[in-house]
Amino acid sequence: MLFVLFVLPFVRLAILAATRQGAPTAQNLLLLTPTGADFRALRNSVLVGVVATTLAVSAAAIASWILERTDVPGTRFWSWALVLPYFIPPFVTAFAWTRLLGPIGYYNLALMRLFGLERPPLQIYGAGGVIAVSALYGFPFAFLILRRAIRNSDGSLEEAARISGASPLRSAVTVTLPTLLPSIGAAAIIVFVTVVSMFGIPAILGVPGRFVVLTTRIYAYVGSFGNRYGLNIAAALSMVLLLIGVLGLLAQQRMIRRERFVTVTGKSSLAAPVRLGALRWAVAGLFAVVVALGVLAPIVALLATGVTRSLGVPLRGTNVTLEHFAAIFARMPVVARSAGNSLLLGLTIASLTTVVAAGVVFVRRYGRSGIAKRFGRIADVLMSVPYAVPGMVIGIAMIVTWIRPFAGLRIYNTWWILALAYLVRFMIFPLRSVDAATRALDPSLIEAAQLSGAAPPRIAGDIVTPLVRPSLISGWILVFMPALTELTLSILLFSPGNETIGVTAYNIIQEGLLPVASALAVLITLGVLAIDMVLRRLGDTR
Amino acid sequence: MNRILVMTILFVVGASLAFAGGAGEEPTDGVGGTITLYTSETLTDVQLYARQFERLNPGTTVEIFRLGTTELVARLLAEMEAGAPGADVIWFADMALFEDFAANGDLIQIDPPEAANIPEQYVYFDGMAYETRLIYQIVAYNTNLVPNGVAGWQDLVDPQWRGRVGSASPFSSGATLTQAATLANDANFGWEFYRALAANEAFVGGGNGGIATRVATGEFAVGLTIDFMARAQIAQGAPVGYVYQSEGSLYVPTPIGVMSATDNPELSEAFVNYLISVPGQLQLAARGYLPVNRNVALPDGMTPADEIEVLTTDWQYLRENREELLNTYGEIFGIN
Repeated sequence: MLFVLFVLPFVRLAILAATRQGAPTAQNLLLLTPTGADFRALRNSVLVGVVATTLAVSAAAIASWILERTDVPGTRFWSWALVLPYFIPPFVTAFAWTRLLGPIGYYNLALMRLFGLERPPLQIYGAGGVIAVSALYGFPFAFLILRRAIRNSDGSLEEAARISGASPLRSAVTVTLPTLLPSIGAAAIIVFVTVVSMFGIPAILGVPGRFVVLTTRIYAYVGSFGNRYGLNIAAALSMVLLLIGVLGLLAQQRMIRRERFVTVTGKSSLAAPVRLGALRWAVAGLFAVVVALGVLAPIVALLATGVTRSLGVPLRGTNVTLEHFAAIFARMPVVARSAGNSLLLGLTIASLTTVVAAGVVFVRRYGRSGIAKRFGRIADVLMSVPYAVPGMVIGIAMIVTWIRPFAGLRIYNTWWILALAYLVRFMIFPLRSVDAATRALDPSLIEAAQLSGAAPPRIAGDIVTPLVRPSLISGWILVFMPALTELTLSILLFSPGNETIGVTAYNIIQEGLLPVASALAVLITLGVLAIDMVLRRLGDTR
Repeated sequence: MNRILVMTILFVVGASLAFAGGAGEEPTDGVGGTITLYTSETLTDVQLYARQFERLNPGTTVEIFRLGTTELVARLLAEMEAGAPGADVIWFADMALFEDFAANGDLIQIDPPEAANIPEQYVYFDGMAYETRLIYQIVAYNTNLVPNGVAGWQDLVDPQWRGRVGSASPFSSGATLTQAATLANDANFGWEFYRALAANEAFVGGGNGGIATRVATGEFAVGLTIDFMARAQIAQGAPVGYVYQSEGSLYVPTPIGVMSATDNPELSEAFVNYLISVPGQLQLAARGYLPVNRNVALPDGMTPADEIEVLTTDWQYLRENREELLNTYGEIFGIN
């Protein structure tokens, strides 16, 4: 069954990519000629990946160094504010930025007024917009990794360099930067793979600006072309995307090995922070501007659009309305229906993956018989296969596997295909987090219980579970939050009645119902932030 | 999301209460149950018709599944291929596909009583599909930016509006796919027209509703959209004007029909009947559509259908070149 769930879909995908109507052919991949649109999409994907990653990681490195090593005021607040975009679904962020940087976006209007320009100076639709917003979305991933790395790196070396007369900048670049390279590499790979696999941002910002990437091209082959071999070509393109993911994973594993080697130095003694002097407030001001313009403004823009009655008229007096919010609740059952579906999927898949992960890790590590241990090991490997697989590829693989009833069961076009795809996509998160936690447990605890004659279920319940509880909870949250607003898989697999909230919001955005879409985006953002806060509170009062 | 959860619970409770309450009553014309409608109609509008129909016929539910025509068709065809189409009723802007469906027996003949009150050219394939109202793809403009108005298609390629022209994408909109099939095949336009449009840096994306909104906001000076959407913007006080093109407007048939795979043909037919009946037509007219029922007067400010000049669409050509049309269009605009 594990094989059917976690491996078979990708085998079928590979077969479909290499055939047409059952006959082997290289035709599907041959479309990747250097002049063709498919190749252009691949090139664009790589372009977005490279540039957005460079931007996000550089910004994250600078911000983390300032927040960790200098005496800039408000460190805690900036760290929190800069990570906020992580919680907002990327398609909402992309849509919000069209309200700021679209041809009549608030920023463009302000710039036009300021400089007396005739035309909007900035263009959100196209390569620039996709890259910028992808970088913004990738930033928190890199920031979280690099900040921890800087905190753990030895500050006293840098301090020594400063005492010997090097400027703070010089000592940071020549002393700290080299020790951070492995972490920077790891962060870069995570951001790169995340950005290249994303659907929402390039679909909303790229396609209208004639900038197509692999994910949007794959979606077009499946979702709207009348192409007979659409699914075959999509499968072939998926294999290319898959290759990027696998290469990323391999590179990341090499980096992690090197990182461990480098950080053996362990926890540093706390060095004195770099005194910025009068620059302190300038730097804090800079952070304030970045947070206001880059993090808060998109949310405010959504809110403003969501309460406008007629968009062509200034927002004041009778043109302010809550009717769009009311309409969502009163007249659009599809919204409540999809919110319900997303909650159900999130709860089910988060709980299921956590329980299965705990079971597999326990059997593999503490199983009594060799067979049990071997089973655990095989299950672990099988379930890790999809780790490197971008969401879009999992989606296509699910379609080709389940489009026809399987053993009399109809999976395609039901809630179940979403559940299966989420399961495959998210299994790895609790698996890794539980695995890491049990690795830290002293084996003597288990051995003591075994010697006292406790059966494996008892050991699992009485000893291991309480000790690894925090990682079970964090594994659960790691699945629940992204599952709640998942779009990339869902857009390929949803069916009438089985929409997710991400799909419904995306469709309303694409239909062009701007005020309703904005109101919905505001509700989703507030909802996600509220849920995250509640979960964190619950996690803390353990 | 918490609020949504509460709303969901309230909705479910409310719906069950309504259902329990409705169960004792006799439905007005003997229909009941649930049907699913696959449509490309504006979501906020079609939701209203469904609610009114449900009020007039207690004990019935119309589930709505809304996507742009092209995406909807891709999904419906995949479902039919897998042997399980989810739609009872289909309603979207792809006349060529309806022709295919009618020929293959994928639609059933229905005979809604109200059909007697609509002109016979709006009854298709011996009653396998019906036109419920008339829509046209027109040129809309922002009255602040274009005070002198526009005349038609040629204004879209006027360099004066370079970079400020909008159009829905044929990868989403059935109307725009119909448009491509019509213009590409027309000696006065051809693909040359689209190359000129691309050279004028036209924005191509999403559905027609978005284009109307963005003409209203001034993001676009001129744009191709549907007449009723422009009228809806005007009704809200937005600075929008529109013309039926001097070269001929694009008539966009949006047939509605009942799938032969339905398990509730009675309710499906009743829903079609409602849409062409007086209450349904009044709803449509109120949202800016041209009604087809003879007993419903044309609202003020609407042009009667016989005064609108239209281009001729060759459905056979669209049917045979669907893929080719999308590819060529996509290539010209770099969007596929």
